[in-house]
Amino acid sequence: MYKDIDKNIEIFENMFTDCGDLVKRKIPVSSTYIYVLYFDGMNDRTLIESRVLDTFMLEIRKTPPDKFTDVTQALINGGLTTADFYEQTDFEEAAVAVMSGETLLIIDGYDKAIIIASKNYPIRDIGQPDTEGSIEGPKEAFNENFRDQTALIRRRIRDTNLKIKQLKAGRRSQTDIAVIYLKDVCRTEILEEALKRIENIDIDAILDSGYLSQLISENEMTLFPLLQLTERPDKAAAEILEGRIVIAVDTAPFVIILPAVLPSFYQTGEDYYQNWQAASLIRAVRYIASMLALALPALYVCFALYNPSMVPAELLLKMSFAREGVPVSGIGEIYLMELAFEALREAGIRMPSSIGSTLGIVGGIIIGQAAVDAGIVSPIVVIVVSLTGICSFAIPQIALGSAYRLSKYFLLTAASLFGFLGFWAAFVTLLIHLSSLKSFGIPYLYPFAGGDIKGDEGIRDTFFRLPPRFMKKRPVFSSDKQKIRMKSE
Amino acid sequence: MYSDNGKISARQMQILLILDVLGISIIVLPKYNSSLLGFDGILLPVAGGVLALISLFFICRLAPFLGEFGFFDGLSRLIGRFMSGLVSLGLVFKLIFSLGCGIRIFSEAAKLKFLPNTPLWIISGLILLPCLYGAFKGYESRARLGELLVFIILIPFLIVFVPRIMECSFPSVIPNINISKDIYFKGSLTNCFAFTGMEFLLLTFNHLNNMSDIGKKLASAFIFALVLVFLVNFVTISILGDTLAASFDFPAVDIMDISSVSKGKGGIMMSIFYLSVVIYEIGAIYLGSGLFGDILGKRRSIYMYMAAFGGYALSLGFNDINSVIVCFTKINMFFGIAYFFVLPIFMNIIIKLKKDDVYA
Repeated sequence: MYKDIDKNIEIFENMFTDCGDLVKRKIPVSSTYIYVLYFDGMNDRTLIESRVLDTFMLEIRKTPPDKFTDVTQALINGGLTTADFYEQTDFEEAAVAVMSGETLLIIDGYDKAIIIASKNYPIRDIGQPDTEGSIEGPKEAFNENFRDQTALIRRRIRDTNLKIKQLKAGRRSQTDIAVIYLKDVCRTEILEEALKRIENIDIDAILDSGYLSQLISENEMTLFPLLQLTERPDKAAAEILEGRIVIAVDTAPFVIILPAVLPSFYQTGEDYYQNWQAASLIRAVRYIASMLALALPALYVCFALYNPSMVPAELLLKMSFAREGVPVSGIGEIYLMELAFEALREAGIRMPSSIGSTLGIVGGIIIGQAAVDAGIVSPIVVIVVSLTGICSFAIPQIALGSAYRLSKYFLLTAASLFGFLGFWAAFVTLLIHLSSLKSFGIPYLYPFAGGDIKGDEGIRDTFFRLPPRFMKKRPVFSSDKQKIRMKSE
Repeated sequence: MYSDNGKISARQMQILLILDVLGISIIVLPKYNSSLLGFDGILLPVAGGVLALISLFFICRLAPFLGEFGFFDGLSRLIGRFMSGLVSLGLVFKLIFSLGCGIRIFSEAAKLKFLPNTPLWIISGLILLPCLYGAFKGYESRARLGELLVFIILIPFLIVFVPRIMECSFPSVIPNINISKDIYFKGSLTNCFAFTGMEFLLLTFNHLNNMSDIGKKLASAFIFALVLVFLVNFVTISILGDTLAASFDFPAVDIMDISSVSKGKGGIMMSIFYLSVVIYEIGAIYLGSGLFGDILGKRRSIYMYMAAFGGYALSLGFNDINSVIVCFTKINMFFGIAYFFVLPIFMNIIIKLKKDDVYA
């Protein structure tokens, strides 16, 4: 920054040429000039014009020109009626601040710009979670506002060890990113690795947490999510308390949780708000449902088409009668129905919600029934595909559901080609793949595999959720010095 | 980072030992034992198990030494690089040979039970591909896979196979003590060497992250596996009878299909066999190629392809299942004596004698 205000103005105006939404004005104040710069719609105009500038100009007018040397001191003494401002000497940094919604103030004869915190973009209110709904527990969901995200977490963990490290990523987007963790509970090596990966990102823009999660993930070729996303502040806070790290991204309503292991995708906030018996039942159902979502069509092909001798005779007879007159082969039938189901699902998502439900009824019931009546497909295949679809919706996290959905086709194709042997070969390949995955050094299948740690209680929160007094220790994500979360009576 | 790549825990090693021992032995032994000794073959796994436990004792005494230096480098310290290379090459051959036999035996079973119209080379390839993929993912990944598969294998095994004990005719299987001791000894040795995976221990101690009580832990795991092998052998021979058990290619699978109680469950037994064979084959490819790389001075992924292809080619080289089992038994007898007994005892003696030199 220069002392000559005109030089500074020239540089900023060159930077912001053809920016129609830029508000800029050189204002004569007493015997000097000030220059104000901000983007319309990005900041709180009332705060700047009615309260900050007003009092600031008054203060400058009151100050005799010969005493007009330490502007910062003058501002601190009452010139600026806001606590949140700082000085900036770098043009690029100052420009980024303006583009982030701050207000820039330059005073003639002073070689530092003053950045006044005045962000106030149009944002969505705090709403209810769309993808992680619950009956019990809080109804809040994150919105796209970065500061709201950090505030919703800070409100839940009033601990001085809760740290929010702010970074920027994206050469053009300059997206604000907050790494949120409990300093004494999280594993230092995981935190350092996460920060390193974020700092190493060199991309033009980060427009959503989905971008970031792909960029910092260990294995971008896998179908399975190695980082977890949540829109629930209560879940994010709970994970921080377990030693995990939350990354909030400006403009993204989902925060990232890391590390993530397979069982963590089966856990929902509600599991911990209701009694353990009910939570355990639901948890077990989710696991069974996910296995069915993965393997049911492939197993149907194996049992019905390759090894019917393994099916009880009565059921086999019923299946044979049901297939009588169906012109498509058994494998073709399964693929046909799966394709129809995928189309229905995609159409349902794109449609407005009122039409979406109608589409579901029309597609699922009417077309399905009509296809059976017309003899195009057998009822058993409709049952298999519908049950698979329903089960895939029982998986709480969309990313994991998608992974299972895609893996299902891998198993189905292998089973269609080679029956049981193909199924097992594909299933083992999938297990090998899962066994090889890690999220920030934690085996993805922990605690089912790789969880051989003395005194570890991770398994108590997997297929079933045991009562709190059986889960006194934090899971593997936490530092070894902070394992105890609940003290004995 | 929390997870140290390539290192496994003692529990994981126990699980791998159980699965490796089960792999081929539960398919091969009932037929072999009933052919050799009729109903008296029921006790052969126990006798073989005792011999294997003696071998395990000597192998486990090498754990600290092999854990520190690895097999090839450790042996080089004892007998020089050239001799170590020769001995290691023999072990590589044994691993690849067992890999080939394992693939062929299981391919024959799979062809019989699952895919009668599919050519054998496709079935063998289908079995081998996931194993090659697993080998590429490393030893730690294999250990985690073992932790999962042990449940997938044992739970159906306990549900489907164990209840068949109720159908056994106990009076008909009382051992005949007049049988020749030589035949019994030969049978016991064959059973001992059919517990494939024991030789893996020589190559895996350097993957272990904690050596404390490893001998006891591995012995308990082996005894557990032995109980299962004994159970399969006992149930199969006593239900089928010695003549039928000897005439079937895969009697342990067949007994599931010929009973009205468990009709159609042969596929489940095949699935159990498949999973334990996969774990064994992954180990054979990974450890065989790794040891080959050590001999040549550098581990390369191409050696994994070579190991897999070698096993594949060998598996297709046999005429039929009987020639595989005959060859498997003979080759195992030679290499088994060498690597289960002679080498571990020899290494223990040398280490004892030259303790200061070998650790220098």
